[in-house]
Amino acid sequence: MSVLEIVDLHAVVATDGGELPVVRGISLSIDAGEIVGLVGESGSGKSFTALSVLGLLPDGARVSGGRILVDGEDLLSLRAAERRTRRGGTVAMIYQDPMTALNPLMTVGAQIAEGLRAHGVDGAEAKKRTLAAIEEVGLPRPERIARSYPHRLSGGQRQRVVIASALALRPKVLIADEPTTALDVTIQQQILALVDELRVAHDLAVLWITHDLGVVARIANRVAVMYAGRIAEAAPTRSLFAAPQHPYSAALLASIPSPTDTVRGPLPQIGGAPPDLTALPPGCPFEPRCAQREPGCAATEPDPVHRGDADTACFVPRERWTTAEEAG
Amino acid sequence: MTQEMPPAAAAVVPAAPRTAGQPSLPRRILADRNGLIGVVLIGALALIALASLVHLGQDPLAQHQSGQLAGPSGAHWLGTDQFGRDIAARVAAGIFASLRVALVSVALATVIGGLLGVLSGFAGGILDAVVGRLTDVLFAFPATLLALALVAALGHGWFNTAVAIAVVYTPIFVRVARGPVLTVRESEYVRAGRVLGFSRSRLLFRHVLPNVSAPIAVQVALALSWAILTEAGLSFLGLGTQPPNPSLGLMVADSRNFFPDAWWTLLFPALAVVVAVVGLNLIGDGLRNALDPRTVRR
Amino acid sequence: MIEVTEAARHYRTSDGVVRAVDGVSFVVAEGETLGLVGESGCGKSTTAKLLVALERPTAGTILVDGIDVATARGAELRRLRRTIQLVFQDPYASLNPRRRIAATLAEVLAVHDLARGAAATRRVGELLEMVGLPASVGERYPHQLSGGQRQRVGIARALAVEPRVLVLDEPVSALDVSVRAEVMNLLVSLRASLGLTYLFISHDLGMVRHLCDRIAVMYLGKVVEAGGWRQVSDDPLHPYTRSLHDAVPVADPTVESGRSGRTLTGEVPDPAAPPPGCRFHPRCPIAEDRCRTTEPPLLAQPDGDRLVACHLV
Ligand SMILES: Nc1ncnc2c1ncn2[C@@H]1O[C@H](COP(=O)(O)OP(=O)(O)OP(=O)(O)O)[C@@H](O)[C@H]1O
Ligand SMILES: Nc1ncnc2c1ncn2[C@@H]1O[C@H](COP(=O)(O)OP(=O)(O)OP(=O)(O)O)[C@@H](O)[C@H]1O
Ligand code: SF4
Ligand code: SF4
Ligand SMILES: [Mg+2]
Ligand SMILES: [Mg+2]
Repeated sequence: MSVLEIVDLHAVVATDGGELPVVRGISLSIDAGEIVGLVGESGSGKSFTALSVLGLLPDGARVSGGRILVDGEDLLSLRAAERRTRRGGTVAMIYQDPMTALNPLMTVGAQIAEGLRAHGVDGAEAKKRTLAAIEEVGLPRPERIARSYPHRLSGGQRQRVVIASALALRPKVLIADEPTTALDVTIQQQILALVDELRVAHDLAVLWITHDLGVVARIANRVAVMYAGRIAEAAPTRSLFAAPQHPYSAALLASIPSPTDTVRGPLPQIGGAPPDLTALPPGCPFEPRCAQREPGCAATEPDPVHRGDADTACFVPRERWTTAEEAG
Repeated sequence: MTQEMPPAAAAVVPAAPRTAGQPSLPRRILADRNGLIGVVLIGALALIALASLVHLGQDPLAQHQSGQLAGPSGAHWLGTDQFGRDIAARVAAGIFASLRVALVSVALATVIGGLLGVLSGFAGGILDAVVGRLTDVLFAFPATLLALALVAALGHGWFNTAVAIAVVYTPIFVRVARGPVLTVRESEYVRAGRVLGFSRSRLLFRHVLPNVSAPIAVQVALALSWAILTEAGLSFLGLGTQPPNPSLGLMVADSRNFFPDAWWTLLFPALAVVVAVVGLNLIGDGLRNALDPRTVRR
Repeated sequence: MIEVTEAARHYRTSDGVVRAVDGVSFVVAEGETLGLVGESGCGKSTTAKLLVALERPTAGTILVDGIDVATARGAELRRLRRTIQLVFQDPYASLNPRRRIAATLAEVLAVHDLARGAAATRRVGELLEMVGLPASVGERYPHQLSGGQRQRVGIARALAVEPRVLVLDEPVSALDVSVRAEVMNLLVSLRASLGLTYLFISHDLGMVRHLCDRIAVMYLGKVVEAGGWRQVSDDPLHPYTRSLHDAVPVADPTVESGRSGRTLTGEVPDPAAPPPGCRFHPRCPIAEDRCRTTEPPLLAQPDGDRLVACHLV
């Protein structure tokens, strides 16, 4: 059963030159206990998608169409006050920089308790659940951590505190926007293991945004690859890495050096740059950079179709692709 | 084989090259609404001040026996004062005097303070410590009091007034210049210059200075408006421009005795001060917007 | 080409002495590429700064093509500048935002009396071509370029003095995944065509493995393991290198699902107060008593060209 279901989501941001389509029709669903990795080039709309779900888009940006269902309830049709109780309550988010998510002038215990109180958990109960939440993310001596100010903690400890705070209300959906990018690899490893543990323990539905395909390979059950505001391909992780159905996913994977190569040739590169959102071409947005393009690709934009295990927004099935050498 | 060049070259370049460079700074200020209003206001004042130089209208010192404290009329557009002098001519001359003191004082403060700030920030060490201590000392005095004391010590005259105001504002420019220099000095492109063997003076003048000029420019506009207020204040207290020379501050001071009946003696000089201060602040706003890296980097 | 012997750089701060680099030794032969890996704060960038004389060592010696970096002054320092150059991590911050690219490159040529006027214009065109950029890029400002293009400019600027060694401090970390391959390929082809020696700094083991001949692993200001690229990346010996090897996610779900799931516990210690004995002992899964008191020396291993600093290897 999908806990989070995004249906044909559109979001725009106002600029001097009019409204820019940043998210252009995204559909994605996440089951309970599932981690979906969301990857894609910088500016492809990953954060906008996440912020749309939380109703936290920046000023000037708005959702311009579609539905966001959590347990069948459309968040976009809720009134502002109801929306707020869902935020944190049923949908929680963790960010890249844990420092920005924490108030430097409050002890971390007070901050976690404040979040609980905003959702009606008070007094001794709030205190108890705060300590339990800190303990759950593997921080030693919860009482001492609760009394600490954020700057006293290391980057990894801070991110654990943010996770504790996000999960204290037992949300059903956790959205993570590059939460380990700023951390050391050994600390990242600890956080990834922690989130995986919590996912299993609480049947969490997780949307994990990252640039790092290695992180996706480690923790995601499914992957969605974004390109120019759309999902180019969504597939189970193993299928996507083994046989990508979209030329962009294929090119992205090919450009990463293999950890087992013994002969190190040139890396296949994609070349070109993503399209300018102010002047999107009428056809497939990847067409100018695509090694598999066919004459029809520039005329109309492909809609997602089911191929193999994947949903891919591409006209040309894998069998018709030219050889891998030319794919780069 | 390995010899071949990555073919990315042409493809990586965005298709439509944006205009190389930015519109010029004056244009960007005028494109800003505040900046535009400020420039118009100050431009008008400057024209009036210039007109006073060539005595286009009346002589500001001439006493017209016919009408003392006469209201605005065809002969005296803004009326006359207690000695029958033409207020329009005196306001124009007063604006000139104010702007002259403001420009000279701020120019001195900018050059001396800016230079000290940039050098001490860039060089660090003992120079920085000494300059820092000196500015702290100057900052410890209330600004107006310091200016008063300096004028009292230096004697009257517009240039001495300008010097006094300059001394008061120099530490502000030291700080305004030093902060960004510290940031730019540690920036990667200055580091890159050091690794590439650029001399210190090249780094200072070619790389650091152009990148700290923005906050200094904004400060100049704001300091000009304070300087006009301070000059008016000093004259009001009898320490700036000496009678019978026209000065906005002095005119306001004199009008105290007459203004319930002769409102024009207060209104017009006061208005001139307000317009100058507001105009310069608006230019400061416009400059800040025009120089904001977020709009520059777009 | 590069010979670093027991180099140290300590910073005095209000929190005590930070031992950013604390006795590092390595050599890089001419034409060779050495990769320097390690976690944040272990001293990689400080080592880079020492090599290009942005910082002076507080102890030890550093020789670059025979020039003693610690004491180089005047003409000797100029020769050093023309021998070794640095490419920075953040391609935006390392370019003066108010200068056109051509002016940035021409300035380097002028400072070193390499070319002026028309000759400089020609040379700027050559440099841009060398890094795979069209000459029209010269007319642009840094903010008008993409990240990948900026990094190419950063490389062109370093190459303007015709150096023989490039220190590359995380040159692709700030770039999008899809442009990293371009810059990596550029580095490989420049190395071949110009015969360059590289010190390649990165926390991305995959990129280091792809580019380097030898790899040195740093932990808290020290080298703990060094050897051939396959030895260190595929068959690490030091417990820290092994943990790093396990921690770095690789883009292959089959490899990932075969992982032991063991994670390295604890935090990276503060370089102002490194643990006594082996610096890795608080986190080391196989630490013994002597590890807590005696620091293991960096010793040659029987399997050839490899050095490891661990009592139990
Ligand atoms: N306030 C804004 N005004 C105009 N455009 C904006 C604004 N905020 C974001 N954008 C544009 O929206 C697009 C999507 O941004 P988003 O932050 O979702 O990208 P992302 O995929 O999260 O990228 P990254 O990997 O860099 O975080 C980008 O092209 C960006 O330029
Ligand atoms: N000028 C300085 N004063 C005090 N401490 C410093 C200074 N420069 C660096 N350090 C400290 O020295 C240590 C090593 O820093 P360095 O920048 O060399 O690390 P790094 O390995 O490059 O890390 P990263 O991967 O984050 O770039 C860090 O703990 C840092 O805080
Ligand atoms: S639709 Fe055509 S251009 Fe687009 S990705 Fe598929 S093959 Fe390439
Ligand atoms: S010396 Fe001891 S503590 Fe250090 S790495 Fe080896 S086994 Fe671990
Ligand atoms: Mg983002
Ligand atoms: Mg570094």
